[in-house]
Amino acid sequence: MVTCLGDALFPRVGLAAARVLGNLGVAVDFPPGQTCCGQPAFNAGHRDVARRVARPFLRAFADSEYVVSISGSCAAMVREEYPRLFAGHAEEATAVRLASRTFEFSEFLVDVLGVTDLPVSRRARATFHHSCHTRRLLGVVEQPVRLLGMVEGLEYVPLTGADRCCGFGGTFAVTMPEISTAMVDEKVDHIVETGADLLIGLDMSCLMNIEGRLRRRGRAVEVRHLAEVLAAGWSA
Amino acid sequence: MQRRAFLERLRSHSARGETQPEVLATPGLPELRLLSSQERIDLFLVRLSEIGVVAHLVASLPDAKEAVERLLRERAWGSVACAPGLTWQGIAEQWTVEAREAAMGLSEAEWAAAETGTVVVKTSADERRGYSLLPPAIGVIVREGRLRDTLGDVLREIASEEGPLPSCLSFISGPSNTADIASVHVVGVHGPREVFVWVIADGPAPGGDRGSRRHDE
Amino acid sequence: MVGLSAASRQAFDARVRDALADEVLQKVVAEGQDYMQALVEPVRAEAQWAAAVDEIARIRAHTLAHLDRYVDEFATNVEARGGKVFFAADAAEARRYVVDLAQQQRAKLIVKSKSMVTEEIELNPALESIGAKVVETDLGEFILQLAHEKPFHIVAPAIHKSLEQIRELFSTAAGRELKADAQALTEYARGALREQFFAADMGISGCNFGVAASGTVVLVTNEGNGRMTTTLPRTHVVVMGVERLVPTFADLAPILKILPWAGAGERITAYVTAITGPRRDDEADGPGELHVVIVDNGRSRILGGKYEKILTCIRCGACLDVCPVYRKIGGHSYDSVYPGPIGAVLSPLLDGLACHAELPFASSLCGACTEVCSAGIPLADYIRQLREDSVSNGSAPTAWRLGFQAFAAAAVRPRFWAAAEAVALPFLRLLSERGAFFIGRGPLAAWTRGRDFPRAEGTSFRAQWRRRPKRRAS
Repeated sequence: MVTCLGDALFPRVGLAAARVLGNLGVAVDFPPGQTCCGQPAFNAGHRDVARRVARPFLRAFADSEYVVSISGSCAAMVREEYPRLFAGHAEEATAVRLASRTFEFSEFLVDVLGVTDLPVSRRARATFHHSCHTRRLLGVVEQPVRLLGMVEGLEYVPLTGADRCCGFGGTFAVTMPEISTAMVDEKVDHIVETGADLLIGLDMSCLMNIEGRLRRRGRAVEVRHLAEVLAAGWSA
Repeated sequence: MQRRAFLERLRSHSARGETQPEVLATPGLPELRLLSSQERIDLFLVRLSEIGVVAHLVASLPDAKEAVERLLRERAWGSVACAPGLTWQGIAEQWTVEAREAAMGLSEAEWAAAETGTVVVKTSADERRGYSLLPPAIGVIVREGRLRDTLGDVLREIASEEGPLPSCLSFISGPSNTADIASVHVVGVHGPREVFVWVIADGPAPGGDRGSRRHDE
Repeated sequence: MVGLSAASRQAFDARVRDALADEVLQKVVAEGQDYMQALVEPVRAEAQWAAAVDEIARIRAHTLAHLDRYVDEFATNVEARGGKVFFAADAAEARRYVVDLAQQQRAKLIVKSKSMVTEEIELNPALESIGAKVVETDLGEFILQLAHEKPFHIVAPAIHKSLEQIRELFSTAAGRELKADAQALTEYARGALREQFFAADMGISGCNFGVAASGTVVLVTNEGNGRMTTTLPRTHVVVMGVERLVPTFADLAPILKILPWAGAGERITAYVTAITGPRRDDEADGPGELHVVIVDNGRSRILGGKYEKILTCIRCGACLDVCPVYRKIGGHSYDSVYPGPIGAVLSPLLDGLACHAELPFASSLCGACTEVCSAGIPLADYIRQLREDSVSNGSAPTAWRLGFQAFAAAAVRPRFWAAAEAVALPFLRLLSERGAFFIGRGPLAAWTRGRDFPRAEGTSFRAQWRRRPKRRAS
């Protein structure tokens, strides 16, 4: 699952995830019928529109054994919300089935593939942003940290206020931009405090928000999705 | 609004459903279970100290009264407020004044809870609310037999007792305090600033000791 | 309607801007949140906590399902113990009862201990209009009364005030310079209020919980002003929301396990006061009269509906202590009696969405509130559902509605979607390379005012995936 954002703005992340999965012996497929899981509309209160958008999404993955998402919040949308969104609709069973097969990227590597060791190296001082939906709705907290521990040469510094929202919140970032900016400012302050030269995360929506503010404040911290770090640092 | 109409409005909105029983089953919350009265007293003393109460273990009521008199002399407190009657006989005659004027108020706890360091004082014809509220310092005696493991135990006991509740039951856990001023913790606001507790180790309640009783010293 | 909502939004933005620019507020609110989190988080992680939260949810859900019966039982028992009960359908009725009572009793001086419901029904101005002096005795409320401000937080109402600001307020009231020391300032408040307690004709309190089986009013406090207010004046008036009931005394157990931690960061509050009726005939102190005003004011409308769980709130304030939005905008930005996540749900439900149009949207839906709620209320989900209500009653902005529909039209046609990407993305790359020009301008202005736009690659994932070198199957 590449997500609408990943498809349009961050193709490199999807490609990196595919490469990592391929390296781990997984046969990766990109069903082109997927466009958007419907979360932006859903969170903004447009339930019917969200369902309309989600229907073809259900169909796109009908034959997939597993669905691995490069966004925790989109995986959460499918896992936690689809069953309720389609309750009482013809697609209910399909939605429940899809929900049970959908995983976030780091979660898939650790919990499904059982990865304990990776031939990955990256020399950097890095910190990690735990996205709200990934943490709270999926319960994915340890998995990415464990994967970071497998990267040789990576010095991991935990982030203060790691469980506080970065201020993206979907449409919130543009409907309440002043509050959103104040929130991401505090996140940037904490990142700068760590002295890290690399920020890693699991959700491009959050990372896009944080990186946008880092750049505006003239900060050179590199911002990468976990998949990019693993793919780029993979020893051939 | 009239009572009937008010209740009817509530009833008409309520979605009772088949899932809600008529009567609520008793709470099945896992609670602290202490084995012996000694453990209970030990924990009680620790918790009292943690919440800023000066607590002492004594062997009998006369010992407790002696401790009270000693304290009054040490602190040069010349007046107390307490109920007349057997408990404070001796002290009451010497020093009693109105609660508002007293340097110290004295009460006896009806119950106490070890886990939270709580003493429970109830009102009666003799036991005025003011005794445990108005003076800047208050002292409460707790008999071993009235000490329970947890607040929940005390609440359940109260719930199961026959007869009406007293007009006021005060669950007191330490001195009055606040953190309303810039999140700084301050002890002593409108209620008493100092709390003293004397635990009289004169035997557990019947069935209240599930282990062997250790003797002090 | 458009004009009204634009004005409402402008007012909201102005309040938010003030809060964001207020350095004292920013510092103190964040510190307050961090202080509470440090105290509560280790306790919240214990297994016992989750069990107690489930228990609270169970008890409260049951109570609401049979609320009419429990209110009836509660009222009967209050009366059996010599108290009087008044059933107030709305704020106006509640106000009128208390004001009439104060008039009948010629109550000139009234002391109050904290009660959010009395804020909700706007009781103080009504009492003042008949010439009564109302003195707030809860330290936080006392501070607010001097500052002429509304509560900023439901548990610690003056948490936004710095030590220096409080020192100034108290010094002015005292007519002398006081030390910038919390202890000294508290001493001043104790002295200033003590006489008021003794002189007051009437004491008004809230009620944390009413116990139906015994007709008991329970107050959970730390300062002692709750006890003073409900003991010294000859008449005690309790104002309570109709939903604040539990069936029996024993049902308080899980609540008292959680509320002191979540609300005050401690195992138990200094006082839990259980009042059953006025003083007995043979008692020498305590109020001679007890009046309990049970307030509906829109709560019955929420009963039995999809938001019913909001009525199980125990007013612990935990949601405010973790909300990242509240951290930045503070309580006054919400312009409602109840701020924070609880307010973002309760206020629109009690007063109507039209009065609080922005609140459901002033959230990033991070879910922190749901995570910590002491009663297991799905707060973030309710906030999102209020957005759905906003959309279905037509009050959501048209531009967004059309925008999402256009998006949907593309999203359900993957081939069209791919074609649209092929056109739009190179353009986007061009834009993002000339980024500086577009800061604060154009359709992405709301984003670019505060953040740089990401450098677009110019082609979509799906296009690149199709073009990738085929791997030989191994």
